[in-house]
Amino acid sequence: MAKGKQGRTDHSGIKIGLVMALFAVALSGLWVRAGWVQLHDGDTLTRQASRQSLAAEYEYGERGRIFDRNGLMLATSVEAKSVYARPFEISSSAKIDATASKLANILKLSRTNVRKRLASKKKFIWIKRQVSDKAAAAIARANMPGVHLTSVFSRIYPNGHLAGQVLGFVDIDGMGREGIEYIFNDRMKPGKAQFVVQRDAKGQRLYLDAQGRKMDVNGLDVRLTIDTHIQHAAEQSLAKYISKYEGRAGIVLVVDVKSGDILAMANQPFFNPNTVRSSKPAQRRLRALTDVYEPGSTMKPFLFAAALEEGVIEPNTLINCENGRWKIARKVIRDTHREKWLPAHKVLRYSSNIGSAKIGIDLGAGVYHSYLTKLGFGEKTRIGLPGESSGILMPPNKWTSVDLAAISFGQGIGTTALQMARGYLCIANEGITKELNLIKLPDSERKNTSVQVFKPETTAMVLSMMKDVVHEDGTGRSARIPGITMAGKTGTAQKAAKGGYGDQYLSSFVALVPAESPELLVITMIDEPQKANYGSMVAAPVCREVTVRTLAYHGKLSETLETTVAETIDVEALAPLPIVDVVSTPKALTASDKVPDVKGMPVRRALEILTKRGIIPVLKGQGMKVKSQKPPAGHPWPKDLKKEGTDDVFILWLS
Amino acid sequence: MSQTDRTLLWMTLTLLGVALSLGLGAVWLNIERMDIAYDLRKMEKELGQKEDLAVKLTVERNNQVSPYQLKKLAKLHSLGVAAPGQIRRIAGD
Repeated sequence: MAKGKQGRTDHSGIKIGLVMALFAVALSGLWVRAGWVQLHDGDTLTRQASRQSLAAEYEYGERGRIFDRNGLMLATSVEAKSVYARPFEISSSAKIDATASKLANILKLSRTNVRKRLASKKKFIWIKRQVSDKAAAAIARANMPGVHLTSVFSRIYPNGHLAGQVLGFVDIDGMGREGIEYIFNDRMKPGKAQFVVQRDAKGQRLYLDAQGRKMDVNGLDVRLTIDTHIQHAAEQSLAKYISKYEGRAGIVLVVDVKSGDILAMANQPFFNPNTVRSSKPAQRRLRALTDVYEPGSTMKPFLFAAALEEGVIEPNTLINCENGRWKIARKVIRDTHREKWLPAHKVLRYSSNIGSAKIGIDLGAGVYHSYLTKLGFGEKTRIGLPGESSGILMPPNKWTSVDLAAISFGQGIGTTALQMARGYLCIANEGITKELNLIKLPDSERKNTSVQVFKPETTAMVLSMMKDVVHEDGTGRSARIPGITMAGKTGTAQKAAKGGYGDQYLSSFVALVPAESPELLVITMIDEPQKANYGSMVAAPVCREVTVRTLAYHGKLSETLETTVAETIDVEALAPLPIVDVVSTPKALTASDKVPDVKGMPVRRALEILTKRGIIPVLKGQGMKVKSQKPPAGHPWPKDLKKEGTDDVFILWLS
Repeated sequence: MSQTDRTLLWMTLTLLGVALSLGLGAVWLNIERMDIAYDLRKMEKELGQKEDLAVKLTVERNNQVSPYQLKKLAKLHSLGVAAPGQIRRIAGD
């Protein structure tokens, strides 16, 4: 310890040392604390900090859409707002009252109910899900504390009830519950992406990186073989005739023979998937695959095909039809028309039950059963929709002689409309079985199980007999389409009731066009028509209308009205409907030497007049009405008609 | 001050300057990043709204070309399903 000049002891060294020690301790303390915070509490604190500045956000995808074969939308999801509340965020009773009043007013809900729910202790309550855009905007403007909007996807079916039962529906949570929506739920359901976002001081969320956002969260689409326009035509025709004959229900199936694609599957009563809550289960049923009917005479072509194939009959084999009344094992079989001897092809043409029963008995239960099995009766079509029925086909050892007789004319056997379609597809496809398709995308992984059931010559004979049903004096005359050959078969099946058969019927008709090499198969079934029973009266006109509209839509209607076959015999009882009432023909137009004035006419009308004269005009401009014409009205008709459509022989300017 | 000291001083000052500039740059980048994040958020909202509108318009378009609407429109213009004998096929050149 040094002494100063005045003899005082100098403590400065100690002081400096103490200060240094103090600083050292303080700094060491800070350093230790920093180390403690960094090393020991680091993870916890980082997590706490992240919770403040980072947040997890979810992105929900859109449910896959459903399209028809041409890409027209049948089902899609549209973003809609849902309103929810966090009751604990609403502080006072007065505020609850005010909020309840506003919500009830905007959302058209019961004020008491909303108030009760807002007063609950729950952390989260739905006020209303999937509200309109207008209501959502009003809620946002009202800016009520504790009331929030969230986006959800709601399912929309733009065509209303069109193919409603095929499409099915989804519940409020977006899960498919029936039809295509149910079967392809896993494919169509949307995914969920979770990613981290930064929060600013106000709690706003900011995207600072693309982490987790590249994921595709949208569900995958489904494409059907249904053609919207044909489906519409089928539904309209079905509804018209069901209303006319006061039927209980009905089915129309339109199938493209070449591909086996189902172009339309109409079911009446209709079901609109947009309004599931107001629908009844009976409306939602896809009858074409769930309902089992005794098809009646529309089964006869299969019997004839089997009998021809087995050589049991030839088209001209004479069959005793017992003058319309025949007793077998104490049961009496009757025919609508009384005939004694009929060649086999006329048995089908006049739809004789007695003739068919005799053919069936000659063929034998085991053989006929094996053909029915090969055609797919008694087993599901595996079309890919839920609730499909297998139909009813008893084993042949249980068939009595009466059963065999009944099954021969389509009673005592239960089939779905789809099974019938599959059976007829085989006849139309030169005897080779073909699967029906309803789904275009995703590709079906069904095995090719095609089997040659009949020889092509056999099916050609059956088609020729079925053609006579329509074009000769058969039961299907009312389905005749001028200029088009059709192979058809009517069916009028008695429906089973308690203790036997009742007084209700299933009227059906099957059409294959053109008859020689079918491209289109149309099946119509009308359940319990009240004003008439015959398939020729009730179902055949529906089939005809659907076929005409389908052919017109494909541009395959005939250019002429010439019928290639003439009616030879008139059997009044077979087709109670006069052909003139069913087949509409274009009205005759007055012929003149001068060009008429077509200005102001709809282009369709003008074309009708000109094509009647053999002139196909050149159309200029766009629009639906004729603005001007060359040659003008009153001039003679142009003579050089060979250049029609390619030269300026006749010009129509449209507007 | 010797030549070496001067050099060291300049180097130190330069390093400090660079550090300062880098620091300022980092702050500026962060501000820009936040700014972009806000813009991005705004644009994503707009995109969402537009996508939503596009879906709604697609639904509306599908509704307009639905068979029901086309039937109505056809009736308005005196058009209808062709009856047998009313179709003409024009052969191409």
